[in-house]
Amino acid sequence: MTIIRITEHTEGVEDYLVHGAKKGRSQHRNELDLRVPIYGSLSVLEATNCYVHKNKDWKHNYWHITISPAWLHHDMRPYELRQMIIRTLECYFHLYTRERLAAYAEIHYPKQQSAIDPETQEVKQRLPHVHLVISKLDLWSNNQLRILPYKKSVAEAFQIWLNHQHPASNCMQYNVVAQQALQIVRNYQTWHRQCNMIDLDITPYCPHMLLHSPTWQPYVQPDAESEKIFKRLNSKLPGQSEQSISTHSNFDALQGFRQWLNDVAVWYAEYQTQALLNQRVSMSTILSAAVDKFGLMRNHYQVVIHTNTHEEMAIDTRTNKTYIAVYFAYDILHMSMPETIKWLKQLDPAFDQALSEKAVIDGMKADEDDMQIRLS
Amino acid sequence: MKRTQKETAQPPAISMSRPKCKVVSFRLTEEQHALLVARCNNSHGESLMTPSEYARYTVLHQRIAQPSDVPLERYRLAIAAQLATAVTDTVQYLDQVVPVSHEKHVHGFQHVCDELAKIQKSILLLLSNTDKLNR
Repeated sequence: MTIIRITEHTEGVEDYLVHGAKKGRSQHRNELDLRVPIYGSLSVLEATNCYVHKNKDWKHNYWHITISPAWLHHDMRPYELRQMIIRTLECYFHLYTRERLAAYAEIHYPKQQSAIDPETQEVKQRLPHVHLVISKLDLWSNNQLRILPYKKSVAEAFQIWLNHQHPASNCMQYNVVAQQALQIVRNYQTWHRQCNMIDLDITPYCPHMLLHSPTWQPYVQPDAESEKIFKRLNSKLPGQSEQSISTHSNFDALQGFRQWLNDVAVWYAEYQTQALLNQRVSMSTILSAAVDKFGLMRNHYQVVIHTNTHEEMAIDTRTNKTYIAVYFAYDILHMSMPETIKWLKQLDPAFDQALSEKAVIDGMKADEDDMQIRLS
Repeated sequence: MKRTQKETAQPPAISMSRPKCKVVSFRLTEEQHALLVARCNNSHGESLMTPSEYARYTVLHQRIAQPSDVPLERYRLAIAAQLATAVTDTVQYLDQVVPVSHEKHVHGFQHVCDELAKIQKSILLLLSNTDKLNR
């Protein structure tokens, strides 16, 4: 079951996402998780939070929603999780279009596989989860957003419906349950809408007024001095050190997509290397190394041999999914593709020599094939 | 007459440290209520403060509240958020609908990403502290 938890806070979420600082935890975020931004922009959220701090005196400035799919769905792709976020926003902020919100979300894929439960002292599997943060400011009206008020039965119905949107749950029996759950949510939303008439015709900004505002003029018709400043700001982006620019410029949905695209590019470019790694690196070695370095819960995995390819694979006994070497490091340990290749190479000291030998053999084979074509 | 930031009273700071447990209510005609709401809005119908805040400030400070706004800053935020949502939706479309079944698709995607990065740059520019520009 996907678990959704909603809390509200005044400040500090940016630091929590970047550094992972939490009571009773000493590790840095980068040691704990792989961060993949998937929705909105952290810079926009940060700037909105600053605006709220400066101009409002609200008890809480933003909502923090955590979404944790069950382990069965731990390998959900970013677009599936992004879809989940969009559905969550459309459910809880149904009075507004998404562009009226300053929202940001990132997935935390656990690098450290296990953690000790502070209450029970048991070692538990860490799960991939999403942090979704929404500023309370309605950017179009300057008022506070009106979230769908909490009601246990509706929250549960939404979770049931959301859970059944995953392709694995898509069977006839579940669909009936999901439809009933959706109806409960819709009825509640109708009640909420009747009590809260939000002005839907409001414009986010008044172009006429904005374009003629003297403060906007430098953007529209920059003079020499303004152009100089723009140029300087532009030259600092991204990875800038300019104090006046947000410090989180690289955390946005595009960045998350680029990370994935980079992995795909490396996957294509290093295909031969991966094939050899899958053949050579023993799964037992990988599991042992993962236990030492990432706190992998070894009892959940067994080593099996593929009947056709004779490659060693790890089987996750909770889901019965199997993984060869490269995909184990990529999908379970959540390394990037370059990190995966580097780490697996380290586990096989003779790999580079084997790779060069294979290249020589492949080259000779290619020459032979070429010769045969010419002779024929 | 155009109002400047200095001339207008800032929106009243409503202290959240102590709970407001006393209620004062008064009745208004339809017209009076419409006037009260209008006083809380700017010329574009955007609400700058609630009628309760307006009444509270005016009564407690013994002077009429002048709802003010920092429109440019909020407009910039609104535009930036709108662009960020559009970029997210584009990424979702690319991620969900378009398959990467060949290496050449990766290069195509990278090109699209480069174009989207230009929009991201504009977002950051909107968010940057351009007080120097607003001389």
